[in-house]
Amino acid sequence: VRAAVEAEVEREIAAAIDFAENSPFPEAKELFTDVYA
Amino acid sequence: MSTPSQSPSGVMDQSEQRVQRYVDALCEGVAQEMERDPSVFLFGLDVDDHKAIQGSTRGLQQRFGKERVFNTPLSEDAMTGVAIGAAMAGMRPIHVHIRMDFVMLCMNQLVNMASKAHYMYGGHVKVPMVVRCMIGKSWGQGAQHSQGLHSLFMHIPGLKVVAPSNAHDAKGCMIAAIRDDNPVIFVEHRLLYYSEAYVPEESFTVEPGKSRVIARGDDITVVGVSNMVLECLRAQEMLADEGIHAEVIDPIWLSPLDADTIAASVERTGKLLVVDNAWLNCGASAEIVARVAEVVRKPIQIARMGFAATSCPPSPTLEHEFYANPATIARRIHEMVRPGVPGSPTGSAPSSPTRCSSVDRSRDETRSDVL
Repeated sequence: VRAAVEAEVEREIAAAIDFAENSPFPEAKELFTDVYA
Repeated sequence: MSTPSQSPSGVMDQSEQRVQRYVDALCEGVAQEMERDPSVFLFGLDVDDHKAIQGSTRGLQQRFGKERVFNTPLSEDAMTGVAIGAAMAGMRPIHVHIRMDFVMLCMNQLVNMASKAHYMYGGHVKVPMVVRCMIGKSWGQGAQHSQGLHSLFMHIPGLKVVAPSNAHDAKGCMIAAIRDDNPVIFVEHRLLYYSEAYVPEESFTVEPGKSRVIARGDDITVVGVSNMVLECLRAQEMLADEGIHAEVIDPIWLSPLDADTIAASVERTGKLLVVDNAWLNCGASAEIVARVAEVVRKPIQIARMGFAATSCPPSPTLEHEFYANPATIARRIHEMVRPGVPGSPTGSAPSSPTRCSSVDRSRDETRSDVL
């Protein structure tokens, strides 16, 4: 179970890194996005 | 003295309205939301004891059970974490603190976690929680049990701050705060707890970001915060006999702050006095004055009143000097409207002719019925 959890975590982290590296920097208009729900 | 006569949808006929105490209005608002939404729960120190936070939680545990209304140990920081986690998981917690001073133990959770989670998780997480904070006065508890610390939270993006001054707004703001998807710091002044106002039985909200003009006048704009709204109204009544007509505004929500309504009034009167239930330095009064000064397009006269620049003393004689009161507020207004003219009021506040008169009574009750 532990190995499966660790593998899933590794995949999630890798996907997040991939998403971040392949995404453009945010536009200035996003400065105030998601401050309040 | 004026009490709210308007609902969010329009003017109410007061003769058809029910009179209710501030604590009962708070309790009813929570109960109605707990009835409507099973995700709402309430917890904190002493919420289930025999005093029931001065009555503001009375009957809730019996009605909704110990899983939704429960006491906690002295663990404010940890319990705030519980509230934040529960809110992130889809619940709507109400965390009660019997002194606002005790919320200082929760600052990391509130300022670094609750306020920023929605932003830091790209809008995927919401933290809908209410933090009830009581401010006290006239109870001789001094420096660590009497502080009005609302401005600390006004400083933080992501938090909302509300300080209802009457029973009507206590209920309407509480329901709005529970339904809000953001953390809301809910400031309650103990001297207001037994004041009465017209409160609809049905559920209603007093929405964030809208001030209320509660007395019309052309000579000066006076803004009161929390219980200072009532002190300002008493001062306004004292001065009316001398032909000085102050416009009194209750901001209700301090963040978001409706500065437009205040500025529009000051644009007309040319004078602004802000009376806070807190210190002046970097306080709500400073923010209100700054926001008005930024938009008003003519020279205006400005003054502020609030706590003396010292810690709250336990001695009644010193405490009297620590706070603004109707006489000192009236004197300041008189000085601003009629500078150099003798006749400034020096007497005590008039007895209030309407429902809010019970606030005076609460002063005595507060001394003998400390939490």
